[in-house]
Amino acid sequence: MITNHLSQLLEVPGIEAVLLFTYHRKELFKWHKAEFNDHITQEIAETFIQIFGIEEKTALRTREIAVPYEKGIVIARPFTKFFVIVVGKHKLDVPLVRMILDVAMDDVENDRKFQKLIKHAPTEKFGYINEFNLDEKEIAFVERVQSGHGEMSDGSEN
Amino acid sequence: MVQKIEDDMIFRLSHKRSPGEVKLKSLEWAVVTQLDGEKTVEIIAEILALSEEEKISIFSHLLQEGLLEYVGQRQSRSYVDAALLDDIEYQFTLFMGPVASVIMDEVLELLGRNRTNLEMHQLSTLVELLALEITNEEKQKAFKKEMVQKILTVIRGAANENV
Repeated sequence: MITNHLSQLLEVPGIEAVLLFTYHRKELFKWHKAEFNDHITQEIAETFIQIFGIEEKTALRTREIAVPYEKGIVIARPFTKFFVIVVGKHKLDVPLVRMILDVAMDDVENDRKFQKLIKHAPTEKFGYINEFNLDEKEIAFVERVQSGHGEMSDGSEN
Repeated sequence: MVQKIEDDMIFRLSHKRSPGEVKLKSLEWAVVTQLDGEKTVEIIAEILALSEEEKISIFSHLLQEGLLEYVGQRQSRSYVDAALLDDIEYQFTLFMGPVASVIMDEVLELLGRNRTNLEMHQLSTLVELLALEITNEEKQKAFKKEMVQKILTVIRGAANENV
């Protein structure tokens, strides 16, 4: 079902993985090259659950996050009940991936079977942050955000 | 023998000498960790956010120390076919009207290119920038859909040629 809508994406040279998850870590779709395993994909998904969870408590509304890493680039887009992650090599044609996502994710969202699949998925994101995977500083930050005293900072010391 | 470091050169770590035998600065180590026989000098410099000066001096030093093995150069640049650009312009005109041609020239200029020297890797960027000019969301999506198919056809053609 989802594969049909994302088939063009899987054709783009340099694509390493395409993942769809709900905010409570339920895997909706997974396609990846051999060097990825379930542990890695879960870890990547969890990272973005943390990011989108925190974002929910701020005034920020991110449409897309693109993060370069040593072997390539990771692109993530949040939707109401789920998010999509695309992992690619350095040579990945990012504008092409963006355009395909613009078109294909609409089709995915409008797919009746997919709508059924995510019918009971939560829209809330913050509650699914996994505190076991956070260090002390991050836990303190989450608590501050939760209590409404969180501040976005550029990381520099005042 | 490599005389001068160029952006599209590709290196891997030489088997003849270990980086441990040479005193390297941290940025030089960072470059060493990126050498995989696939990434070009330009890509490594981009990943590590090296300045032009740093890029040349680091690669030259690593080369001088015998740590680099030259793999080759990235395949020669390939340009977008004029017929494909005409087709894109035609499709764009269906959404934008007669002003499409002017906008297309402006976007090409923004990319530092013209209709004869747009590189293949810039094609998607051109289309994405053109799509941004279409203010109606539905029409923008329809244009993107059409263009994605065209670009993928080009990619498939290139892949078949390489087989």
